[in-house]
Amino acid sequence: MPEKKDIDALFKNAFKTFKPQPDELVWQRIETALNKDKTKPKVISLWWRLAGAAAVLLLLIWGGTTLFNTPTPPAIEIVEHNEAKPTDGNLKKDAINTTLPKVKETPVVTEATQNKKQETTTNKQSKKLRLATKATSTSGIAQGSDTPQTKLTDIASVSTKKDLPNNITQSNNSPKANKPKADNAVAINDKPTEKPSLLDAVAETLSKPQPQKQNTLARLDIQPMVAPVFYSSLQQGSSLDPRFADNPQKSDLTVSYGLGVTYTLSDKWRVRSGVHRVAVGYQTSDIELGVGPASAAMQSINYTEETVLSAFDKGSLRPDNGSGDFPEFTPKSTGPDALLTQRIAYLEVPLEAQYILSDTKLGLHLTGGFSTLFLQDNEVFVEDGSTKSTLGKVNNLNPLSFTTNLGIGMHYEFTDKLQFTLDPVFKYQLGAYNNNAVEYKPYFIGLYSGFRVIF
Amino acid sequence: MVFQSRFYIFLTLEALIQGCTQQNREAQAALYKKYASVLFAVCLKYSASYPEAEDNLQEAFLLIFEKVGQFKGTGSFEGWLKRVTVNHILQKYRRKKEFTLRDDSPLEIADDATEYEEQSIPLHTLLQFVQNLPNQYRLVFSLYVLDGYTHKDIATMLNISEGTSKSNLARARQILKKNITAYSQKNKP
Repeated sequence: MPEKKDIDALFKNAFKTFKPQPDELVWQRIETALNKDKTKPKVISLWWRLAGAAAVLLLLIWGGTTLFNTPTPPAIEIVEHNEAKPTDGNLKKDAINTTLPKVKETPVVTEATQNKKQETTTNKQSKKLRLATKATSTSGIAQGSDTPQTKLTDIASVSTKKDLPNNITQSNNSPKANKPKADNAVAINDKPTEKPSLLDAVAETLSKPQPQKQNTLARLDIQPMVAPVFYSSLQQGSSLDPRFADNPQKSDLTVSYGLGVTYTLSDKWRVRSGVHRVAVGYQTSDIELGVGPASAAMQSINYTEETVLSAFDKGSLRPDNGSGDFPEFTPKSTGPDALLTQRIAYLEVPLEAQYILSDTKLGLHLTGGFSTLFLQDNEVFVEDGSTKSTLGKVNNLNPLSFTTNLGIGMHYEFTDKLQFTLDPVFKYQLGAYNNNAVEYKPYFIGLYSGFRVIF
Repeated sequence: MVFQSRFYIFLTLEALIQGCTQQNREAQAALYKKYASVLFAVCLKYSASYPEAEDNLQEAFLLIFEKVGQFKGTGSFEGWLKRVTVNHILQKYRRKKEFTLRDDSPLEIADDATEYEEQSIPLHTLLQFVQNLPNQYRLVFSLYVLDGYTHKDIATMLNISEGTSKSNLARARQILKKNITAYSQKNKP
């Protein structure tokens, strides 16, 4: 006898074991749609590549400057010199052998050399000398009566006294030269003329005080920074829902703080990086609240419940004519000054170049570069008087985004090791949202200030 | 085989969800294979036709792959999937402004305790009866009878009063009973 059931049970039991299989085409269509999403051109990758190129360029500048900044060589003292000046312009063979002075190296203790790891024994130091040469003789010394005027050429490396070529001998009759200690190598003129000898000319140059190169490279300094941040959009709109696009908005009062690291490339250029925690946000007014199904609430927010609190334009839930735009929502009592706030927290890693406009006690500098933003947290809530109601977290923020930075700042030098800096920087955010429909082009302006400690 | 995929081991549901969050195609295919049947049943109960149900299933899975990272682990994952699917279908009907059968007056229908023999009415016939119901009646019937929602929940989800939900259900039952009676008489041996 067939079992009798009421109609509810009849359908309920029948559908209990209902396991229909969809057509294969359904998955194929799903896969096609997923592949289409994957192949969407990502604008942000261009900016990522530009940021990478900028970083490589800065590294190359730093590396090139480091590589080609030659160290200050040790001084070379001339202990012997042949004063003979042949009148016929020819070099005597003897003169050849005696012209070349014995060179004794004397280390000149400079700031540059002091910091280098070199052998202190001067005899073992190698240096570059300028030699007057014409021929390609192994001794490097010009010979012969037809020797034209010699030219200074770049050197062969000449080592110490021990390593001098064998054909360079010391003349016992040569008077010792009373030359002052020089900082640089000696040029050897083996064709003295009536004109001042090259050796004399170089010696004169060397006798002039050489400006000591300050070690401006490899100068690192750190700077704890804090900044009030103003957040807004270049385009009228709302990141939460298009219905708030024309509502009054204002920036939420937020702060950025962190540590900056500056690397000085030269007197004019610096590279700055660091890590900052930056919180941004904005408030939307003229709203009211209602309770209703999550499926009809703001779609930019993640919901975990079926029935949720949501925000609407003021008047859309309970208009005077009695009918609302959202009939499925029950209005919740809302004060006239209720504010819908979105707050976002990022970890910011900037990479900026600074150009020093003036490096006086009160100086100015230009700042330009990029920042990488790593999304840390976000929250949407409503403040109504003293009551705060959290609506949830948005689902349209990209975990990784970037900013282009531009600013002009000032610094005040207390001492040569301590400066105070004030840097207003404009940062336009790229790739903040993963939904192209969001009509919100965020930017923020931070007033970065802090003390710069120079090592 | 519904589709071709390499054998991919997802030892736990967490690993499967994690893979889908990372847009791993194999994980997405595995999730589809595991839950397509269950969710297709949901779509068929709420849709007006087989093709509409297929479209709803496709859209529901795309939505699921987009939002799978939002599943917090509280409650059953299958329940979460069903809710996402049902909410999506309801939202589509809401956008099309299908809920116009406002009937706030309580229906004067006696509590009908008629019982029916569990005849061998094919499942596809019963499904067709449900799909042939007016949209709002079908949604109320499926939500209440087949998926166990309360009238209060249904009223919120469909933006109707509880009274309307109850009367819509009664009308749906009335129509279904008529269809079953007609089918039984037609197929009487």
